[in-house]
Amino acid sequence: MAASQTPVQSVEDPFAGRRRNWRIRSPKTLAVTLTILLIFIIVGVFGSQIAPEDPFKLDLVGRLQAPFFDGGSLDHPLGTDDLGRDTLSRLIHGAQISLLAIVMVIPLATVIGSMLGLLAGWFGCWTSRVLMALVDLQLAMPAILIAVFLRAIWEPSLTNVVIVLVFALWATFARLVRGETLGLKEREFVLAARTIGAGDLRIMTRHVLPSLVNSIVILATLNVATVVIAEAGLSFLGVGIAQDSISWGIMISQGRGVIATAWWLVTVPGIAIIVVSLVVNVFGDWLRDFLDPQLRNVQG
Amino acid sequence: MRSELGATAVGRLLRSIAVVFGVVSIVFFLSRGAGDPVSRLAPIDATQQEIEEAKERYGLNDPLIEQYGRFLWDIVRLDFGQSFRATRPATDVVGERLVATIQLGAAGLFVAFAIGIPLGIVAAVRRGGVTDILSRLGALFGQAVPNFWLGLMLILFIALYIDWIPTGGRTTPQSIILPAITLGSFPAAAVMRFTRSAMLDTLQQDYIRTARAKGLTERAVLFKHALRNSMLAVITLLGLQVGNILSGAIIVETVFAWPGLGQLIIQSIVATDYPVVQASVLLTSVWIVFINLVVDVSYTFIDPRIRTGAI
Repeated sequence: MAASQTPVQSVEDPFAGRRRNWRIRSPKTLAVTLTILLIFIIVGVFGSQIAPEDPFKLDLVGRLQAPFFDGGSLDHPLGTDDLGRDTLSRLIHGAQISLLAIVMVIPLATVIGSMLGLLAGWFGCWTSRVLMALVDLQLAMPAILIAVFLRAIWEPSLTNVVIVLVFALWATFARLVRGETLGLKEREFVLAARTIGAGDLRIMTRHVLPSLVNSIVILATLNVATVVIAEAGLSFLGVGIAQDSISWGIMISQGRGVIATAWWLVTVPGIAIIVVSLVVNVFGDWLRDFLDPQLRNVQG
Repeated sequence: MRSELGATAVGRLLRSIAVVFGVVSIVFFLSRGAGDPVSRLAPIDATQQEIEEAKERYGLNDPLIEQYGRFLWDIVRLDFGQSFRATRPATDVVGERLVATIQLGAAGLFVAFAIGIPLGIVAAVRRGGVTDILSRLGALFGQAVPNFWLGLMLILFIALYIDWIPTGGRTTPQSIILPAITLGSFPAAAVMRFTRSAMLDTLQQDYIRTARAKGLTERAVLFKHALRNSMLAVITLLGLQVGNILSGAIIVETVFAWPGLGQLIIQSIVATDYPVVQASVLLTSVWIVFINLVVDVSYTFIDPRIRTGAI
């Protein structure tokens, strides 16, 4: 689920200049990226108004209609499912859940993780040990296991998904912030603040934290795609949100049964997930270069 | 020196035991926090008295701390209670499925490393070359593809067209091909990037220049000097990937109807087979902790600098 990612070290390139450097971050890519992101957000917020049809409206006569480019009609541009529900409308409504998950998970994981990381990095000693123990615990319980467990004891809901993903993601923030705080602790401006009598809390919030905002924002952006993919995966497995609501993961899971006759039911929501994740990641990469080119080792 | 190494290993072992203890506690308190299982699982027509009797029998009326103690003791004896569905000990049910999951996990790891390491090496050696660009582009794209969806696409575009590749199940040897590719593709990107950056890092070192200067062939420099030292970093990755592989397996097994632990977990949730869910969650966590312990300890054996605290 949450990919374990590895630091990419920025090493001096012995061939720099001789080889044409391949760039993904041209202004054109950025424009396309931002446009798609904006569309996703608008669709996610105003989905109910935009959707051409009621996503729950059954139409058993018009079931399993193909998309318009595969012989279907423009009445249902992306076809219908095995109960005759309009795929496009369901896709639009599904964006809502993805966006909701992002909006709830990312701030929570960021704040919790950063706070713990800051405390552990600043005070060191036993706070640091406790944090590392918690990180170990998180590594030992992958998100999906927590989700399985919560599903066994509670009814499925978005809350479960949020709890699971916050639990899965906070540790990356904690590790990053702890590491950077350790470095900042010895810097002159922190020592100077200490000399003029600033307390721990003041130095942490006024001096250390502001220097970390860039890295934290970058890491948060790089985790957005993880949230989108993870929500879909959990809902696909039936351990995410309720099966009667609409999520891209649930659409894929429902399309599975008719995969041999209706390719679009599985394919279309998957492409939506890929496009959103890809765009967010490219944006995150760009943001990283923009905010701080030295932060090459900040990874989601 | 030796005792120092022993102390590190013991310390690491104690930490692992603490983590397992933490996992067990989380599982216990979450499940008790959700209400008692008897009321949840009792048939609708059960009388209040029957429910009370069952609660008494399972010791659910005892103080929480006593229940906790009993739970810990049961786990030490590997007793997770009877599976509701199979009316056999939950550990037996879980154990049967373990082999299939280990098979799939090993095959997935093999795919990940067989693709990731060579690509990472070529990408590092020919930095900025076609392989580098394509594999980095592939990794960027691959990170955006959910693995359950990739599995379904493989079914849609391969299994439905090629007769000898089944769409699911674990009946023939070739059944494992598609699940293994699905499972391995995501970690392959991580392995690739890790190998690439480790190789780039190593190739900058002075001893590589020395090796070149003394006239070794490029092949010897790459394979004998650079690759061996880069592989240390890749071993750590192996430990990290075990957790990912296991969570990936839960999804992939569901997609391909692979009769392993992951499929069992999902089926047990649907059947509210509580002891089996508990046993499999705990077993998976313990397995991850164990692998990480092994990787950590073996790492200190391989790289003496870690032992002495040089890095």
